[in-house]
Amino acid sequence: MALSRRDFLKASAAAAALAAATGGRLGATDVHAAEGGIRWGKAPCRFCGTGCGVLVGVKDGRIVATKGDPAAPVNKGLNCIKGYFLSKVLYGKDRLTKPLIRKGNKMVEASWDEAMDLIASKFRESIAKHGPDSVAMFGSGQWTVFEGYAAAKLFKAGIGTNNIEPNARFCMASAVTGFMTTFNSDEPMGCYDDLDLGDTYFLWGANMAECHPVLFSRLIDNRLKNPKVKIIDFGTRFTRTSQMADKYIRFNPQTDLALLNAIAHIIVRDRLYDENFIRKHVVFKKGKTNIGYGLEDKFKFADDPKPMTFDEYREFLKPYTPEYVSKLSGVPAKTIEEVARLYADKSRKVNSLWTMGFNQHVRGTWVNNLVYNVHLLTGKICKPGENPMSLTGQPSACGTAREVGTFTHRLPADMVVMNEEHRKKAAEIWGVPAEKIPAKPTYHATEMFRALDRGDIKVLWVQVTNPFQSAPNLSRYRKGARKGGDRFIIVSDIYPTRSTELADVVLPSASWVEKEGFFGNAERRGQQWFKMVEPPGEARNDLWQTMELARRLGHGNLFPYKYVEKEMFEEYRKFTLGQGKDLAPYEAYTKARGLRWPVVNGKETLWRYTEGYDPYVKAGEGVKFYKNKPNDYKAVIWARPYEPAAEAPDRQYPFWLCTGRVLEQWHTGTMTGRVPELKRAYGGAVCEIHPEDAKRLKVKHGDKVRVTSRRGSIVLTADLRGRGKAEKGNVFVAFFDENKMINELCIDAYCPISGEPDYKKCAVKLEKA
Amino acid sequence: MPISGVVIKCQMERLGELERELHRPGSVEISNVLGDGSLIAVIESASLEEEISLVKNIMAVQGVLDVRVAYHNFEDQLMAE
Ligand code: SF4
Repeated sequence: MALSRRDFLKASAAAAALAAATGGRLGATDVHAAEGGIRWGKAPCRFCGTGCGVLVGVKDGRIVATKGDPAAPVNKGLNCIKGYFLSKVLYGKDRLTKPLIRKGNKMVEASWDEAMDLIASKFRESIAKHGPDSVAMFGSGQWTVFEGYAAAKLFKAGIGTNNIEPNARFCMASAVTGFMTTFNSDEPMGCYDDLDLGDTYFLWGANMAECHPVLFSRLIDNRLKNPKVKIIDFGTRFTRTSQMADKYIRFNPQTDLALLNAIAHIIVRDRLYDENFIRKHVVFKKGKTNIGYGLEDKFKFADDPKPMTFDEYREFLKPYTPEYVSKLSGVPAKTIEEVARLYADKSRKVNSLWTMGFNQHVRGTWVNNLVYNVHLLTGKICKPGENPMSLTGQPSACGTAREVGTFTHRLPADMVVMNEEHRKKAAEIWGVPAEKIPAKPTYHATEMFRALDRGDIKVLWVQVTNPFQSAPNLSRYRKGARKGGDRFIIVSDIYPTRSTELADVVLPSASWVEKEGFFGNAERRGQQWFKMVEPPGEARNDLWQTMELARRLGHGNLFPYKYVEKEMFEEYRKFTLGQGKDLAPYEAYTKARGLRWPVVNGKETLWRYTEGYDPYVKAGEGVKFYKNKPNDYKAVIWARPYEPAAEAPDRQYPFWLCTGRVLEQWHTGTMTGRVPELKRAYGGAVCEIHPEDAKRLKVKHGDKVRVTSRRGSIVLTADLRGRGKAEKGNVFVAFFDENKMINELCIDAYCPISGEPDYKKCAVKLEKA
Repeated sequence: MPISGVVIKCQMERLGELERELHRPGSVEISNVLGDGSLIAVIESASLEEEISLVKNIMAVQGVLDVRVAYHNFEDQLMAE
């Protein structure tokens, strides 16, 4: 590279960083200026649910540079370290570029026609022989809105089955059922602005510093500006987040249920609640207890909510004294008292933030309900800077999986297949008879893989995800996939994965800016981008793949569009209008750096249910939970007890195993794993062990340990000095490593209400290997 | 050779020391020190792998709160592939 070009790029780098750090006061301001032949376009980041804005620089048909988008309100010009991986997402050496068809043990290159003909014939055969519920689609929170919408429409309105699920069932289904049971509407009332405006932040089971770094930076910036800011990290593992928090509170796994009830107990006992808010905006309810763990195939559960009074709720809370809960949780009673007072402190703007620690939980719905209870009791909700906020891990878990409704039971905009009116509305927009959409949900994700194992599902198409690495109790489902018979598996992806290796057909997909797209992030922000580069070889958009199957099955009439993305979006938008979920016209998103719904008269909504911000709340109403008509427009405080985990340590398996993510790798590592150095540095997933446990087992840092559960066993390197530190009696292993698939050890127990598995708690033993 | 522009958020009391400690001509060059505790740095390296290593090492330094990426150019690396 000529020195002058290099100097120019260095100056550009310094100017961009300076501009971002100073909010554009210093450094480069015109981000669109063509820079040495580079053309820039906007897109949301490909990785987590934070939804940072990125400017993508293209030269000669290739991406050559990326910038944090200074105009993006989420990240204001700065990306986290995963920003570096954006360059590698598309350009790994082993990109899939041709369809592959299994011939015996070999995968053989084929044309798109051959592959699609084969897939269509398998669908047709299976539907004719075994009915529409024998075919299924397993998609993703990384699907664009168009991809998810097309798949849901084809399966529900074309094929006539509810056999469609996203991998989001594995990561935030409990957040959905939490929102639905408490507010009767999915997704948060608050937004990321709360990270700048509040002063007290409780993190529950969320390692934000590593998993939502840009949001955590906003918290840290807030604290630097405002000495009143406190960050309190509740966790079962000491992380980079704990290190930066003002207080780390260690608790025993599963006892978050009891802790939240103890906090409510103190707030009620000492009358620290907001009586006025409760009277106006809250009802009390209880549901079934001892609700099981879904460990047996075809497990079914239906809650039976019953109203209760505030006094009955007070009685329910009585046993959760700080002393009792201290014994259960390991948190000192004094600390529980202090935390309750912080939550209730009228001079403080309190926020709760959580991710997988709450959601991947056999009582995930309950624990979501319980955190809302505390905010509803204290009235610290629906106000700028004071809100509970559930974060997501995938870029469009909200936009696609939840809002489009790519779950077996859902339809777009919070509607469900069980409701006749909802089916009618969907059928009308989709131009099909209402009877076409089946009224009964079929399988949620775990049950879907059980059905494949049993042979009830024969044909499964997987798009934009890697379930044969990410499902819990993995060995059963991997074996099930290759049991033969009429089973036929199609996997669309951009790289070879542990799922493509089990497929009968592998389809090469286009990714990110190789196609036009739309994601929705965790603060209700929808973000659009245009195609900027061509996909490699013969790789094609998943949207095209789904529509091509539709055409071959005789359902091409469901997709009559010319400008597919725009017209499909305008059709989808009809579901949202007037529902408090209003999306803007497509055009608006092509210009804006995302808009937070409901978007009414061109204006986005920062705080839902709140007068002055939410156009659905009339003057004088203050706060109105207007989506909760069945509960008289009030939110529900739920009496949900503490119940133990599905499997707890015992003499034979004395340790808790928790799984999760690390900063350098994302999900199953299929994209971030394309950076060779990281593969070397993080050569394999490691097992974080507490030094005292390690000493007892005579294991030193770097030794090999065998980790065994009732379901599987793997050998890992012991890590006693990593960034994350296991608590005594606990071990932690990340799930990104395709050669050390820790999910083989995980139990497939799930929350009976949400169907989301608990990847955070099962029992294992350790031996020096 | 990829080039990136990053913002290094530091503990205020360590800012001056970190400016000196982190500066390595030809690989990590601190171009600005901001009053809010941030250092602006340009990172140059032979490969993306090395670049990420450099950033990870900076993140691990005592007093560094966070590193965020504003700009990343990898044009000649792609041409070489
Ligand atoms: S925080 Fe998430 S969305 Fe933002 S740059 Fe990092 S990975 Fe991308």
